[in-house]
Amino acid sequence: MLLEFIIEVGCEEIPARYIDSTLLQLHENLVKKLQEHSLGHGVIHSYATPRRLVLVAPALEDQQVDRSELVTGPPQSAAFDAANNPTPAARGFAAKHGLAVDQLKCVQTAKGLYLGFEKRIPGKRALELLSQELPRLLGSISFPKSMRWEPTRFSFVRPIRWILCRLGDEVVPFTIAGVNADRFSYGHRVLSANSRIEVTSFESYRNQLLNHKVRFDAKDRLETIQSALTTEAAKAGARLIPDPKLLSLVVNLNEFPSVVCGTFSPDFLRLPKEVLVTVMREHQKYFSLVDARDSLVPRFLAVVDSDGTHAEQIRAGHERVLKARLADAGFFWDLDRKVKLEHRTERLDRVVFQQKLGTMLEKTQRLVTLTGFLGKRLQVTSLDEVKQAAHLCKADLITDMVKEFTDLQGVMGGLYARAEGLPDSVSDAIYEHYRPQTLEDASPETLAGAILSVADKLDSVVGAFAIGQVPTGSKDPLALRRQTLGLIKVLLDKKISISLEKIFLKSFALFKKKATRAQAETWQDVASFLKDRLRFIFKEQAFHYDEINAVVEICFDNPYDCLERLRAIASIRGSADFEAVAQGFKRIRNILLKFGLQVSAELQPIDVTLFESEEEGELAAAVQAVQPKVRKAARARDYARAFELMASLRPTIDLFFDKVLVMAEDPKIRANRLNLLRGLLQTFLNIADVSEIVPASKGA
Amino acid sequence: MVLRFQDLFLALLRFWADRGCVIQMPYDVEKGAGTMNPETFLRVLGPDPYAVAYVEPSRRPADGRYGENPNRVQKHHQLQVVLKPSPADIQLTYLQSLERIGIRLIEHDVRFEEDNWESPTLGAWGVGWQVLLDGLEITQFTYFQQAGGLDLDPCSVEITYGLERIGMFLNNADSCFDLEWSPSTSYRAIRMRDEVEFSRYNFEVADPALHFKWFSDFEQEASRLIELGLVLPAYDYCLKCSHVFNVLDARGAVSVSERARLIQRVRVLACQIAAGYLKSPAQISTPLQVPN
Repeated sequence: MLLEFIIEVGCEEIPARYIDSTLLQLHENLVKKLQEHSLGHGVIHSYATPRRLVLVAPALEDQQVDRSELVTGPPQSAAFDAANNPTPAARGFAAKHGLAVDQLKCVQTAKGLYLGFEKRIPGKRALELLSQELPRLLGSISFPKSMRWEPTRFSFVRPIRWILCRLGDEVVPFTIAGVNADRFSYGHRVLSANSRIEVTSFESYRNQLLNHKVRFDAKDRLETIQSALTTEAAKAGARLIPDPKLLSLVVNLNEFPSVVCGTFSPDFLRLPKEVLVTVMREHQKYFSLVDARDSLVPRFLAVVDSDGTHAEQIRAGHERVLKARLADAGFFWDLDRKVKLEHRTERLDRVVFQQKLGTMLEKTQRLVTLTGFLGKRLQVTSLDEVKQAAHLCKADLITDMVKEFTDLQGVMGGLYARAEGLPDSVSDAIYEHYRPQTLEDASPETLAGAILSVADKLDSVVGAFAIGQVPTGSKDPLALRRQTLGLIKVLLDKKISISLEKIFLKSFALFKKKATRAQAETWQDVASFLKDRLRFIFKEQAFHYDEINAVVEICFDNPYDCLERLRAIASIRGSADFEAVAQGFKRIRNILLKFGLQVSAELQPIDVTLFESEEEGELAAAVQAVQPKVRKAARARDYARAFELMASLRPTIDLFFDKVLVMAEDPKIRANRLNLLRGLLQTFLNIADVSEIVPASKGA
Repeated sequence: MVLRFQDLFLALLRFWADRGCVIQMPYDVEKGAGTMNPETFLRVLGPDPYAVAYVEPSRRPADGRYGENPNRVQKHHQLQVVLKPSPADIQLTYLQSLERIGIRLIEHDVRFEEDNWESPTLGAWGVGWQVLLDGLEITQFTYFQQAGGLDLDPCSVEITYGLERIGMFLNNADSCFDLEWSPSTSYRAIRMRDEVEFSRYNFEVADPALHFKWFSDFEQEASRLIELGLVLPAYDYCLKCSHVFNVLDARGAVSVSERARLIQRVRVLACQIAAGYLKSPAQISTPLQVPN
């Protein structure tokens, strides 16, 4: 028989950021347990609010299926004596299982013939299994931070205060953290105070909870909030600044959401938009609104846990809080601007960058040198301004605004630089230099910003590796993975063609005696770290793994160049000629491998007199003809052209393999042929190792 | 509705007294928070049940604004409630206490948002929430897990009401200085001079060299007393170290690396004191009754 199962774990407010992962664990663990016990469960739904975690299985089998198990006793040979009478061993075995000897049978096992029988194991009741497993299941959920609160020392994210648990018409009996499972739920703590709800089915749960002002399904809350935000924004004649992260957070901060639209004094619009939006988002979890010209309007949208009946009073309260917050921000904005960034930079000698790597002032000094180096290589016209931006870029770390809102680092520096009247190129570079924070985030728009961003990240990564602070597993306290991804992304987005090894060497040298590891050793680790990130980025850009393999080993040192080759391969790989040549290269590589020859070893001049067939001569001529063109294309970074040239060799290569036996018996002839083939490979392999390309028929 | 500042804390103390709390006095050594009162820091240690409530004037030298900021002061008032062990209906009781001071919850947006408390100087941490009333943080609600580096069993719950914030909320006031303290006297009249003079002292006048010396002296005295098993006097000097450190910090006399080291030194004292407190026979021989 199928029964409806429902469990609701009632908690004190679970932190919003834990709710989704907790619910997922509960769901997965329940499924696992049911499967372990071979209890058919059908679909399982899960729901959560800050105060409850809910699982519902509409059709759970009430009982395990009966099964049987083979039980074996003594070997057949020891079970009967010469007269074919059961031995004491056989009789003992039968008696132990409450059977007569003639109820046993002879079974074939891997070890031979044995006396045995099929034992029938009746299925357990689901109710019994659940009451055993649920306490363990709840005890096995893990949290980033958990707590204890009662005498059994049960550990959970927040105190459990009630448990509703029913299977069909029965309560599943169990106790956890001193709480007995029962048939009651509770409504909204404030909007439906002191409500105890008897639950007879999920249907009754659903209806009653809504009546008691609880939207237990996050989807329901999300829709409610989204539609209210849209409506309120429209009423205000404004447009919502989308903030998906904030939205997913506020969904889990209430049980019965509504939205109020508040205002703040237009006087505060004198503060930068970035500051206003951050204060509203970070401190108060409010959404900001803009007008048609994208200018902030003096309003905000707050998602509140209320049914809307006292919206006016709630709105006034939120407005008052925001007013104080904005007044604080205004105070910081005014105060911070009284001290020039120049003077703040001097005081960075008191801010630690990393214990072994010294202060932020030292970092700043390295950044000035590093940006100067990068700027020169990239032929930046306003080199002094880039260096000035580097000199000032960390000064905002000791402004009150950034101490209050660390997310505004860089942004504030840029705004303060602008307020000081520094050139736009300086303030923009400072403003942008922490970008991109993620792969979705935009890279700096200005070249100066890009250079500063690269220098900043490079310095952090190289410094950490130079003192052996290499990220391992989940441990990456300096966020070096993120910084490296950011660094590469900037190079790719800004089409900056530069050698990573060269900039590494420059950066490494700046750490002088601070480095505890040798330069070569450090570079080895940094290089493989960079390669991994580069592969990751290319994968994210939907390149195929074989395309990535073809280029990364060869030219990871210049990521942008690498990307151009990758694009060329990706666009030509569909061509049959190119693919055939790539396959040919693979074949050649295998042949060379068999003879223990390095593709890249120095070539001997080809001896045309040793050619035995026309096809050899034709291939040699074709290679010779194509070589200068390929070189020219590669120099011009016209990789598509280079690959086209490669594809054009297909008929010649095909003919060669059709007609010519590479493994000639005469070692001289053979060596000459191998030499020819190596020459062919060498022509292309410093562009990309196309022998890595998997033909479409084999699936890439 | 106008609720005077003193009516506010009197009502809350009455509320908790009615629920069996010992009503205690503020502790007479400067401190940054009510948690540092030995009625919390030491009483949460060990097995004996206890329930206590008190107002604690709390000094945060770096928060001083010369009385010019309506929300920030170098000394504010916390109303601290500590219940050991934590009762199962504590959230509900807390919400009732808000009703008691005239907050009709149904008319407001009440939320418990994650805020885990940690005091590096006390080697203490707990998990809990900040309680938001229409977006205003009015209370810190914490289940203590460790104090003085020791696991707590049973766990205590600590409720810390921000009295100025609540007073402003109840009176629709934009500045704490606008609150009436009593029918005849304003918060401004009682506190303004305090704010101005201490802000000046903490930010401009305090002698860093002398404070550094005091820090070392107090630390030394605390260590000596710990050796002698005089745990409570030792704790006084530990608190003094903490306050002296806060003044130095506000004065801008502490570099970042130094900061971590000074905090660590206070923490060492706090942990030794916590361990010593549990060893002391005096504590064991006077079990505290848990009121019903």
